[in-house]
Amino acid sequence: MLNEKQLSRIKRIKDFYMEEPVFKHHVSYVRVMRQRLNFMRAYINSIGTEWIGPAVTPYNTELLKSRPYTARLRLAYAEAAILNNMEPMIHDDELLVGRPDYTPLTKEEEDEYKNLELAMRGAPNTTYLTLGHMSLDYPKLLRVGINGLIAEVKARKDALDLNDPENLPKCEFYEGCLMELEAELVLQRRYAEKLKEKAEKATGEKKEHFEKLYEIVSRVPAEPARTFREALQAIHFFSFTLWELYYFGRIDQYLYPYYKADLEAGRITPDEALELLCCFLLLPDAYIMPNVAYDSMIGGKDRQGNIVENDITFMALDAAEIVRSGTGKIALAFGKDNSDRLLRRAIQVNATGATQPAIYDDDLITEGLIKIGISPEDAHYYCNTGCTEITPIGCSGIYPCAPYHNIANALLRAMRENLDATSTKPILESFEKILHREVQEQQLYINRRQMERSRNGGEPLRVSCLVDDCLSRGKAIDEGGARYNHIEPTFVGVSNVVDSLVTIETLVFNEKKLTMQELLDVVDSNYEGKEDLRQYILNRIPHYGVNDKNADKYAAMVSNAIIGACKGVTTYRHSFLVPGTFTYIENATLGRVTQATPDGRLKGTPLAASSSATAGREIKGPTAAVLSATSWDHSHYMGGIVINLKFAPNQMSGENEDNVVTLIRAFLERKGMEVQINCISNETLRDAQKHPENYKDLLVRVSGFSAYFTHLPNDIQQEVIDRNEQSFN
Amino acid sequence: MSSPSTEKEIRGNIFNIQRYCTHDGPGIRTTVFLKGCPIRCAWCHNPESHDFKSEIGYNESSCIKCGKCIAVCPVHCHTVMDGKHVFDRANCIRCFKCVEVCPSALEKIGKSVTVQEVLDEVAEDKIFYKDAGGITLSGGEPLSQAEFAVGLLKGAKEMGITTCVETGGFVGYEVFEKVLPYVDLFLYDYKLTDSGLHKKYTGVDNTLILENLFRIDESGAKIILRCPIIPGVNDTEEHFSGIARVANSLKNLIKVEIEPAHTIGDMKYEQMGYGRPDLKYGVPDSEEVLLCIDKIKKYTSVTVKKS
Repeated sequence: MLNEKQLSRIKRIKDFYMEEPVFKHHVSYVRVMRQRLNFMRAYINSIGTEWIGPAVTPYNTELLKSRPYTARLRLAYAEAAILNNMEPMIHDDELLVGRPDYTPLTKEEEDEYKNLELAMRGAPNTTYLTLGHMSLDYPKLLRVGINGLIAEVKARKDALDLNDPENLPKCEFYEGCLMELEAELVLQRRYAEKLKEKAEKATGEKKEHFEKLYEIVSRVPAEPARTFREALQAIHFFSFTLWELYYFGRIDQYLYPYYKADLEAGRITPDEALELLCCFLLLPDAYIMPNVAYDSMIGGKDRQGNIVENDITFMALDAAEIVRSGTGKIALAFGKDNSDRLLRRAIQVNATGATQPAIYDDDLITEGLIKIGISPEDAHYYCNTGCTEITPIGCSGIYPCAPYHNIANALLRAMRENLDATSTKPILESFEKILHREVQEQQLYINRRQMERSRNGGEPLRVSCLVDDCLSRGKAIDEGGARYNHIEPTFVGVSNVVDSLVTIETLVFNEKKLTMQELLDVVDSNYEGKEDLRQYILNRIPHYGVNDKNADKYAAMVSNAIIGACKGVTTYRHSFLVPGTFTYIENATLGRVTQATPDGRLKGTPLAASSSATAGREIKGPTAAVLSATSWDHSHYMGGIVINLKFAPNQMSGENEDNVVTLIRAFLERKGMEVQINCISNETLRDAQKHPENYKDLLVRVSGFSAYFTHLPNDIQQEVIDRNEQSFN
Repeated sequence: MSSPSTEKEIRGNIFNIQRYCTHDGPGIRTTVFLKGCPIRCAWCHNPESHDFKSEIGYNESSCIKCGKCIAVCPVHCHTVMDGKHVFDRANCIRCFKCVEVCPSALEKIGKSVTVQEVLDEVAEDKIFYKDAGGITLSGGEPLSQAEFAVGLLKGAKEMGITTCVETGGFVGYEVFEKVLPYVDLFLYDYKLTDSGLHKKYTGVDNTLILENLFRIDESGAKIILRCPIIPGVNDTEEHFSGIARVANSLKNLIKVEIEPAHTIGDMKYEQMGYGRPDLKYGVPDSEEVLLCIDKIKKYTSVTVKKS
């Protein structure tokens, strides 16, 4: 375990990150203002505004040469401009460096920003749709360095026969890659210079600290990493300049050899490595938008199918417990061949309220990925990207969460189309058809966006340098260069629809208490004057989440309808759809604009989170909740599934630890895809609502991601509390 | 001897099946609460367990004053006066018609079920039991419904599920004889050492209870002794040494578990329409509990723990 000095350093860094950057400067997916300003300046400048004459003269040839002449290259040029213009940010405590430039804009720059935004309206909208949400081939970066990548790109570019028009887009792609990669080197150099300056000014321990860092930053990511610390610095440096979700992937697999070599050579102690890993996990708090998961995955198996459990696997869990970051978290892949020791440790970390690691069923996921045509090697080597959306590492051009479909609305429409139904069967059939139409309509929209991006660019091109098979095919991710390109739409309101169907069956068909039209009238009026009926629905009709055979049967049927709705829909890159039920916070945002539903849910309140039971309805405890949650096949849902379990802190410690281990084992045995744990008392949460200032770093699991509780909107806060209310006693 | 199929059809009255119980024996357990108890402990926190017959629970805070119960009650027990729902239990004939129509507040406490029905639900959680967990019979006094209890225990053992019985011990020994082959562990209450006080606070003296305890111990049953600690009633040196004395003389005792008093049951007394219990006591904090444990440990080397 870390000593006082190490722990207090970590605390200082954490406080600094939380006080300073992301929370203040990040506006949704828009990048940090200063970087964005530099981007726009370069982009507009690269278009050029002056008249350069009709003929090719030495003057305008020169001018054209210095200017990127296609939309994609302008984008790469502007990307490079950000890197070229960034001010190195270094805090005295940091053991790993590289953060965005948060210097606020001056008054003049703000005006310029506004003007440039207007001017940019003419540019292709290339950043629309998902960026990131994938893990890169960081092991390759460590192996060859940016210089190695540059050499490869140059060689491939030089080998092109430019007399063949087919090769022009390839050439353009490689050129763009080079612009960006070379700019990375410029930024790296500037960091090194700044560190040198600091070392020169400092004395004693500080001087040593900066000299050491200078040595490391002079080397990586340009050159291959030689040590554990160089490896961490290299991947962090590459990834922070993308300030988006480009996940670190299986850190225990590729970091372990560096650690082992250091250890054997006496270059590092386990505690020093742990401290570095802590710093590494903290950094995303400084540059990733708040309230998303930036997980690194551990455990599971390697590409060849061998179990992975090494010192770094366990060290990552230790680091997660110490750091308790809301962003840089650990996720655990766990299969039947993984050890009890690992699972137990994972549960202990969860018991501290660290809200991590979420646990993923490694066997089920590999099976699910193979089912959709992913090679067995790639199917072992996946991670959760976004939140719980599964993508293979370093070869993914997959779009997760595109888009969020509100299936409660689809059910209401299906009810209206089946006023004379005598069973739920035709309603389910209509539901699937309606959903299919909606999916198709939305997909057309997404496809056109993909088409736009394939022409004019989207993902920074340097990302494609670490995604197979982009370089070998000479195609960027947006052109379909990645090995896998399916799209993962996600479906919100699963348990609302399941419970609604049970309600319809009970009230309209079995008990004949009212007709379909009457039930619709009741929900359309938001249960106005029908509170007794609503209470009856809530209290007397069995719901999803209590191991009720009938409700669970409907869960399987709804799941099948969703799978059916995705069938036969083709994406722009000639791929297909793979559904998920992951909801992020969209269950609340969509819920706000959704009318009352037949499950007793009132207008405007959140829809159910992911495929967990509706908040407060798991009244038979965690075993029943787990049985319901795993009563249907998760293997088709590589787009992500979230099952929440919640415990009071004392229910996870001492002798109860065994029971939680058993519970999670059973969940995985029953092929549950993902399970995450909230271990925090409601008194704490309520107090945090009243005194947010005292709970700045209080973490809760929301839905596939953890969040700082006090940064969440009120209705999501309430939903977390409601869900917790049922904390299993 | 009844045939296996008819054994599974034996009916009993239960008031709850609680899953994921982690305090009633080892592992993850499903606890079946059998209704009815022959003794009345003054500190009992399960008033719904007293009566052997089904009754009606009423939760005022869940009542939406819809008036449905008023319309169906044949003997006019339900009225709304000044916006308040009044339930006249004295005249109630327990026809449960009101429960059928009530959307939220009225509950039938106690359900007649067959052995098979209970076993079906218990079997649902089999994947969670592993080697440790299983079924626990509790109550009320589960052994008061002897045949039903035997059916459940035997059936569970047939399914390879381990069994615990939580008992107050106040039944004839012949019942113990019947269940003994099917019980892996007894959670046996030991409430008061002084027989007179025992009678005062529970309505019966402890002679039979102790006799049964030692007899099942003789026959090899595994036992956890469960001792409620009620401040002002049994938190005395005499009782602590008494617990240790009993513990020391048992051959198959696994440990002593201390169950500190709590007042969680108070609300339930109102919901069941019973008056609040006369006995008032404080709830010991965790330090006081540790102190009790230390006091017992002075006299014995067996494990003493908080349950």
